[in-house]
Amino acid sequence: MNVQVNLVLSQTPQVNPLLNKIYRKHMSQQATNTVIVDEGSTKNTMLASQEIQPSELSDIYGKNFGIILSRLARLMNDEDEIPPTPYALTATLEILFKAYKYIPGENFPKAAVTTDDSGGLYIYWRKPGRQLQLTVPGNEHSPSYIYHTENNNETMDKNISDLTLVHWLRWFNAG
Amino acid sequence: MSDQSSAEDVVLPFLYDSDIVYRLAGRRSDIDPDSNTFLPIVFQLRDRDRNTGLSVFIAKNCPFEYAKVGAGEMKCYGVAELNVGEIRALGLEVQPDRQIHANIIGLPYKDDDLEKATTLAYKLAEIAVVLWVKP
Repeated sequence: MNVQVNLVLSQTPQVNPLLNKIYRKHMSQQATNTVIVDEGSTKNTMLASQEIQPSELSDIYGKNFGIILSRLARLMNDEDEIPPTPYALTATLEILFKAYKYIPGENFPKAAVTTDDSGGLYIYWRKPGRQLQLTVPGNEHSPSYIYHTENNNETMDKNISDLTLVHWLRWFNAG
Repeated sequence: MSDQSSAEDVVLPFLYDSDIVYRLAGRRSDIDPDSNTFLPIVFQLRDRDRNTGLSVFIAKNCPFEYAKVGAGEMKCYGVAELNVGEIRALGLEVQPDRQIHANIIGLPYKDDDLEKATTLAYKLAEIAVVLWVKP
């Protein structure tokens, strides 16, 4: 898991500290015996107690992408929410950051973010006439998928490559 | 007739197409913060709903103010109303199991038919009208 997260971080060096905060906040709420290889547990606890402000993220990214990340972080802060599993969080961040490279700044549309009862992540881009959904399940045994609908014509795409979300986000923006 | 048998023999309400049911949002993230509408995930069966159906409250027997507090059963962050006739038009049924409560029957669980479960969730989200969102 840490290897995967580090992969994401290495691709986005300018935001390492913020993603680390998100990740550590998440991990601190998982099983207490979780080990993070590069930090002591005391420091992890300290980092986990820091709040991530949406403005922090929006200063670095476009406003919309910052909103998505802050909504993701909120799922890990609120006791009434179900936090995403480490698998769902890592895989979703990878997909989102790869897509952001192709659709940077304000062109990246904002989305609603939630989880299912298994800790799978659901990202919804919605506007009248067009809706797009990225789902990453809570574990690797179920497929990630993209679901899109336009005027009651819906399709599900279970073969997600690096550029699948980019393709559908461009479709969403064009509508 | 004993007290026990009379309790068991309570007649469940009949739902007409014109009746309204409430669906409650149990989490803040169930609601799209940009449009204040329910996300489709609110209308997907959870694992614990697989054998019962999607939980709703019957508006004519469940006061709106009671729905807003989760009908005494759950935390509530929002209330949306759905017309029973519109639910039935999707090929689903609304089956009362108590005076104030019913289940929407006919939704597949995502592990059994992911595409159909997702499509029906979107269609239910489309006909749901949000009445209240917790400030």
